[in-house]
Amino acid sequence: MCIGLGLLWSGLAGCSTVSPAGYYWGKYSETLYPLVSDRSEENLKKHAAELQRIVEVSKEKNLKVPPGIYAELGYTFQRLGDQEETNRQYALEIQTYPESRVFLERLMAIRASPDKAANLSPEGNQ
Amino acid sequence: MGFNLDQTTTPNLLVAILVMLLASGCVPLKSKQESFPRMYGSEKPKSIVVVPAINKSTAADASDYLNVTVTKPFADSGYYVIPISVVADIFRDEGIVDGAQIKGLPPKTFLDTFGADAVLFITINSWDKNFYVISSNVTVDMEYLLLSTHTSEVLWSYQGRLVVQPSQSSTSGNPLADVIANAIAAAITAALTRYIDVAGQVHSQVLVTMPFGEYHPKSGKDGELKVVAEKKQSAAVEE
Repeated sequence: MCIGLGLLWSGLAGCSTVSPAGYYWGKYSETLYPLVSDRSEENLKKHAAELQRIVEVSKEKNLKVPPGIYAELGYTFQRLGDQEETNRQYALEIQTYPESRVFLERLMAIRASPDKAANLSPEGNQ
Repeated sequence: MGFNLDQTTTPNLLVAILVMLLASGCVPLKSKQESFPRMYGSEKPKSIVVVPAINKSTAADASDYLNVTVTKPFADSGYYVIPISVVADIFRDEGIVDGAQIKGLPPKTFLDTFGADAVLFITINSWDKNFYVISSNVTVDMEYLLLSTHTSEVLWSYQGRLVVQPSQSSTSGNPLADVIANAIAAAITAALTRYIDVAGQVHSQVLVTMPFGEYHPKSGKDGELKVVAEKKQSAAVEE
């Protein structure tokens, strides 16, 4: 891990869009905010697109994808009903951040629903 | 390893420390390790779950802005932060929408549910109406409380007033342009950017006293930094 960060840092000097810990966040907060008040499919897709862009730019810059980005992307796919892509993103999060496992295993146990904003009902989950 | 961090971290840190000094007068500063010893021992958390902010202020949307901006600065401080949007959904579906209700849960709940080592509660005590006025300073009164989900002990806390100076707004500067219909969308975007900037700065200022987590290159090496105002610290722990 330390070696990874070291390599990471050596390539970062002077790059203002990368945060001190070596993450690229894009417009994360800006696309998340509209979802708070209006959990429409349109807002969800816009946020998902930004999450995907964060992943792509991070890879281009040889950066570790920030904590939670794959997880949130997976969760977005779950809400849009794409189970295969959900599982793929959750696996990437666990691979990148093993401490996310308990949380994501709980999410994986939850049934997906495209029309309901978040179907995390007890029957889907226990 | 020679991490070249100073270029990127120093300006923010200096500004934040300066603001703290100005706000608190000549309060003696304690080191991070002295103030938060548990953050340097076996209880040092790796992962944090953030509970949606408890809003006691009159600015109804302040909590939303704080919630959407909280992950970035805490992750940048070296922690794994569980996505707050997902956390909020999980609680909502269990009928819990108010952060105050969540604060009543035993901290161990967050270990069992999220596998998180620590849970962070944020309370807004007051939030300046100037928040909505372009290019004026915003004064807020905040409480942050980080509890161990393993032992329920306080790992880190902050309590106090902060003054945030918004970055330059990205509006056109032409008042006439702002009344034209197709400029409205741009104006809304500029306002959103500004509110997000202010909320993000609140977190960043508070985080000056927070020990770095495992994913930060300075993790475990910042204990001697004297950045914690004594008075605020003791007040926060009493809570």
